[in-house]
Parts: sequence; C-alpha cells; structure tokens
Amino acid sequence: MKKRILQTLLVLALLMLTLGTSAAQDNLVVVRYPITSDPASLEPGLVKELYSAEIALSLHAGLFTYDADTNVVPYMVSDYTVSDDGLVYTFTLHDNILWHNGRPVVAADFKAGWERYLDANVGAQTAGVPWENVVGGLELFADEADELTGVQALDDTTLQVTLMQPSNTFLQDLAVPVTWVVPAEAVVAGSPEWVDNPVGAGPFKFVEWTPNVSLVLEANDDFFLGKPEIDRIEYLIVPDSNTALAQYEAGELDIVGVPPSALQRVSDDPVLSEQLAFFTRAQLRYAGMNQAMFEPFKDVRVRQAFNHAIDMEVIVTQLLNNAWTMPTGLVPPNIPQYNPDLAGYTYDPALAQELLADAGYPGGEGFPVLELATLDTTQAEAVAAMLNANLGITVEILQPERGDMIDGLWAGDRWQFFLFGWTADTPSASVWTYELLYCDLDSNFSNYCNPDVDGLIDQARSTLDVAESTSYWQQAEALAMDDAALIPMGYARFIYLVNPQVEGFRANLFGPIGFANVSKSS
Amino acid sequence: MTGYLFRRIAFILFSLIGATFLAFAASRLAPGDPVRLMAGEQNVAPEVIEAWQVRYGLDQPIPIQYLYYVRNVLQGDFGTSYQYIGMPVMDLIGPAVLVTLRWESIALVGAILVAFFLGMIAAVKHNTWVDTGAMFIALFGISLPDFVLATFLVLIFALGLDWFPVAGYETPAHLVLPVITLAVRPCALISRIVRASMLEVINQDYMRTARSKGLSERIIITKHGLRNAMLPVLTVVGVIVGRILAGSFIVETIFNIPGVGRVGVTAVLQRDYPVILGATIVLATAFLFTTLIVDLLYGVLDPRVRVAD
Repeated sequence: MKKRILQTLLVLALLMLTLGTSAAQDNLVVVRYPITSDPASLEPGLVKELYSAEIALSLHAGLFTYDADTNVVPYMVSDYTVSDDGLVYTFTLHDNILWHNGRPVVAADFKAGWERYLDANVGAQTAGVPWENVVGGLELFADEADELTGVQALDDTTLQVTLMQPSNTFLQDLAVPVTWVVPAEAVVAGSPEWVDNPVGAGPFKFVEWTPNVSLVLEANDDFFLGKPEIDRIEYLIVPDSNTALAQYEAGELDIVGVPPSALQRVSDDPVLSEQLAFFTRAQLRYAGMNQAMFEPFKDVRVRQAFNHAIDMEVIVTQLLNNAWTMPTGLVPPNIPQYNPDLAGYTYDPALAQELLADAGYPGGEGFPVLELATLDTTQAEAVAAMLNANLGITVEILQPERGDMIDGLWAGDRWQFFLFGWTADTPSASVWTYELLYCDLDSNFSNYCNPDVDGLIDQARSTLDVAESTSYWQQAEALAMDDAALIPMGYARFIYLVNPQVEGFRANLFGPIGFANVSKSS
Repeated sequence: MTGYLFRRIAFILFSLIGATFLAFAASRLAPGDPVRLMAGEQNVAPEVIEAWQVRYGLDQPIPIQYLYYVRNVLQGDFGTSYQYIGMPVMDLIGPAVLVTLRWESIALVGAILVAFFLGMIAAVKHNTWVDTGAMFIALFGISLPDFVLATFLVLIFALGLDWFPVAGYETPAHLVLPVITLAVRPCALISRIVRASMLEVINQDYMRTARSKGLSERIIITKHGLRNAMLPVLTVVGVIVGRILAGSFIVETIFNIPGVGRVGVTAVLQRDYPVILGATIVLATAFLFTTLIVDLLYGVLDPRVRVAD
C-alpha cells in the first residue's frame, strides 16, 4: 500500500512538472501587463475594443497617431500638405519604414489595405465610416466599384487622398488603429481574420499568442523611430481585476488597473499609494432620465430638482475615493470643445424641493415610485437615499445583468432612470452632446429632445471653422445643461499602479499609448 | 454487455442533443446583443450591427439558426467565436479543456487519497479523538465556500508568506493553491462517506470471518474492508467530477487558470454564442461519459452488479 501511494505521488509530481515551465530568459527586460480578455483581433482595422487597440499600438503603426496629450501627430508621415480647397491631402512617408517581414512600407500598401477594409466580408467594425468622405469610398463599400479611386500612390513614399467634402476630423480618423494597415502578403488567403502570424510595422513584433493565457511581443530592432528600450511585453489575460491587483502586489505584474472598489485601500497603503498614476479619460458617467418611460421627467423643473438634490461631491470623493473627477457639464476636460465656463449644478436641497413643489409634487407627494437601473449598486444606493431624503421620492433599484442593461438602453423602453457611462472614440464634443442628446437618435437613451439644442448641434457639425464650431458645441452644451437634459455624475479617470522601476508609462484620453517609450530598470 | 453499452451511448447522444437545444434556446432568449456588448459604453452605428448580424446568421429565425448549427456540428464545424474574430471555437475550448482536466484531475486524485486516509483512520479509530478530529476537519472543509478559502490561501501563502504565486498558470507552484482550494470540499465529503461506509463494512460477517482466519488487521482493512467500502464512494466521485467540471469557474477566475470554466463564463457574459454552445457540448460529453465509466466500474468492483446481457 505504501509503495502504491508513493507511486501515485510520483506520478502526480511528474504530471505537475509537465506543465509548461516557460522560464523567462535571463537578461531580457520584460514588462508584464494584464488585459482582461484576449484581443478580439490582432489586425488593426478589425479592432473593436480597448485591448485590441492597446495591442495594435504596439504591433502596428499608421500615418498619424495620438500623443500622450491626445494631440494628433504625424507618425509614418514625415510631411504632408493640404490643398487650398481642403480636399486633397498629400502625405510623404518616412523612407526607412520596414514591415516586420523585412519589406519596405510603400504608399501603395495603404491603398490596398484600405480597399480590403472596405470589403464588407472582412468584417471591419467601423468599415465605411472613415472612408465615407473619401472619393470612391461609398461605392467600394457598396461593392459598386473595384477601386478606392480617391486614394492614389504617386510613388513609393507619396500618398494622395482626395475627399468629397473638406473635413477637420480627417487626420483624427487616420490616427486611430482602425485605419492602420497591414501588408497584403501577410494576409492569409481564406483566413481574413489573420490570427496566426500578424505582421505590422510597429515598435514590437509578434512572438506568441496563447488564447486565454498570454500574448507576447518583442522589441522590433528595425523600428523606424528606433528600437524600444524594453525587450518584451507579456500581455497576460487576467479577467478578474482583483486577481490582477493581488498579482501586482506580489510582484507578478508591472502595471495594473485599479478597480474603484480597491482604490480606498490602495490610497491608504503607504507603499502602494506612491505607485498610483491617474490619467484623464474621455468618459462621462451620468444618470439618464428617460422621458419616454417616466412622465414627470418631461418637466424641466423635475429634472433640475434631481440635479440639485444629488450631492455629487459626496459620491465622487467619499464613495468613489476620487476615482472620478467632479462633473461640470457633459464634455470632459481635455476635449477641445470642453466648456470651462460651465460649473454644473450645485447641491441645494432647498432649491430642489422648491422646484419639485413648483412641478406639482410638494414634498414628493404624488410622485410615482421610480425605478433606477444600474450595474453598480454603490452609487445607486447613494442616489436613491439622497433623492428620498431631499425630495421625498421613493426610488427602487434594479440591477440587470450587463447584457440586459445595454439591450434595454438601446431599446429605450426598459429603464426609467439609469446610471451609465459614455466613452469617446474620437476627441470631440459630438460624442456626448450629439450622441446622447440629439432628438430621435438611438444612443439618446434619455429620449431627450430640444429643437434649440439640435439646431446648435447641426450648426456645430456643419461648420468647418474650428473656433466657430467649438463655440456652437459649447452653446449647445450650456443650453442642455440649463435644460437639465441629464445628470452628469463625474468624469472617469484611468487609474493604474505602476512598478517604480517602470518609467514612461502614459495614457491619453483613450487609454495607454503603448510601450515604445517605456523603460524598465533592474 | 455490448447491448448495454450501445444503449448507454445512444442515451448519451440523445442527452447531448437535448443539452445543445437547451443551451441554444437559453443563450438566444437571454437579452443582450453580442456586438453592442463589445462596444459597451460607446456608440455603434446601426449598419455595423446589421452587418454583423448578417455575418453571424443572427438575422435568421432562431429555429432555423439551430438547425444550421446542428448541421454544422454534425460536420465537425463548431463555428468561430464572436468575441475573438475568426478564432475557431475548438481552438479556444480545446486547450482550455486540457488545462481543466490537468489541474482538476490532480485535485481530484489528491482529494480521494487524503479522503481515504482520513476516512479509514476515523472508522478504525471509531469514537476516539482521532475520529472526532478528522471529522471536524471534514465538516469544516464542507462548510467553507471556495472563494473564502481561496482568498485566505492567497492572503496567507501568497501575499503574506510569499511561498506561492498569487495567480496564473505557468509553473507547478502556480497550481498548489488552486488545487488545495478545489480539493478541500470533495475531500471532506468523500472522507465522511468513506468513514460511514467503512463503519458499516467493519461489522459485516465476512470481516469477522477474515479476523477469525487470523489475518492481520491491516490486510483485513485494506483488502476486504476498503474494496467493499469503495462502492458508495464511487457514486459520489462520479457526481463530484461532474460538479467540479462545471463548477470550478470561481476557482479558475480567482487564480486565473485558463480552463474551460473561465472561458465559458467569459463567453456567457459576452454572449459569444458559438463558444457557449461548444463549451456546453464538451462539458456535457465529459459528464455523461464519466457517469458511464462509473457505472461500468461498479461491475468491476462488485460482481453482483455486473450487467447481464
């Protein structure tokens, strides 16, 4: 019997040893960085969520990019000109850029790559959108043409793009990975999604992707802006943010996003608090008042009363430990059309009661029971308690599953009152002021409609002059705030813990900007 | 015997069809759109949603979608993931199943060995402090939820003492804490059953006969007692295998093990229908065959239940 137990234990020990022991090679500078899921795709044009975008920034390069301050800056482009009518862009590419397979990058690669993304079968999520305004883009997307006629490679380093209408956002479109391309010869026929051996021109090259486990990239010695300082990035797939945090604390990760629930503990920790890094994020957190589902919300006095009755400062500072910053309007700071003159609603229970009484509900009398849908009950409990204490309104909290919540928002006929967020994919007030408030838009979950606001938005969208357009956006936002279109709750921030040995980790409004300029001392 | 096997395998196939139907219906009827979920708190153009629905056949009526799915699966095509563009479902689930099988079999075998040890000692030393002590530990183990145990193990042995890594699936050391977490409950359960079953066996006539033949107590217990005490244990092990196969997602999530539980839960949250269905089929198959093997083992251990043809 003893012998047999011994045998079994030996077998077990062997079993455990057969586990891949991928011991890190010595002397390599490795940054270990967690992502919550595998990237949806390693091809930049098919990026559809944050992690693919982050990885795309390491693996790929494009004509333009966003720098740490969210400015559009030339990347593969050494020089460019725009014709006087604003229609013809001529880009000159750096002449020393190589794909990871060793072939030089030429202007024709962009034409071919974009034409591929415009093939509906390739499945680029944003297919068509950036090229709507490029001559021939719509025809190619609709399969009525064979060529993207508005894009021509004049020679190996000169690319010319002709637009149908002048646009002041075209370079922004070129700065996001969805318009970055890959070499045609690396796209495997019949496997358009191309997950096996991605080739890019970015600062890091593909080494290995083990789904569910990790994605490993190594420094590209031939990167046209110089070899990155670190040798390897190991993106580890860690779906649970608390697990990732514990791994960071044990030294198993170099950088980790801090979940809001852990922020208090981390801020109180003398060692960890020194390693905290905050970056502004282009995300509004808000409470939506769905006018189609709840009659009293049609009254501006009710909406204003709600805005005055919620103490945002308590929620942001005490409940969330400053994971958000205080809201002043709809458009977060650092967005070009941010309106510094707005101050947001003050916390004023007396005024709130007065407004509610004017609307016909003195002391909350006769106000129907209100349902509040949320994914995070902590803030919802606070909002419900404040509305009850200050206005005498009964709020019942619903906590739908995430998929159900999002479905209900888009359907517009499920949630009376909801807590949600709205994130930018481009640095423009349009993301919030237009997408959340324009009459009859699907993403206008509050079913808010004010023709005056719409009029200003129309003008802002159609005006080419940047300063003039900005002024319209700011007016629209100010009017919507006066009208209490929704309840801004805060501007979210990116919060990371960064190993003190790691230097140069930065995030702009959209997220971390990659590892090309990150270094790590030993 | 062959007739019995044939009937059982037919039953397994029938159950599998039922399982895919239920999983298909449940995932399609649950609210939540895969494309919208991916975008989350960002705008998605209606044309984009439509293009993806056409691409994945989601614009067809649900019964038609099901028929297409069954047809494809019968041809060995489980489809591609929605979340990871172009990733064949089995490329995602296959490695995950191997991971789960590997670490959970270590936990299960470990649990059974320790459980037999504890249960036998408790039975042999019936009503002594050894018995009480062993059964107290077992009760403690049964009552402790996985996530609580996992949290304490991480706090003490990973963050506190720094003996083991917090999470991940890289070296054998990474597996120690999750294996312990997963093994404790089955071990506690099995040890109580071993004890009860041994106590019953110990008082049987054949045990007295064995003693009267002058055999040593150790031979009596291990050879005559243990073999007979194993039958009820086998039943429980069959059930436990099924339960930990499907139920280990909490442990896999906490310790970040890339097993099928974690992959399945991620797929459910993202409404990645093909992966949900693939995982269901794999798990159901594993469970049904485990049950079959357990039933066949009965015959090996006890000639009285050997199946007549």
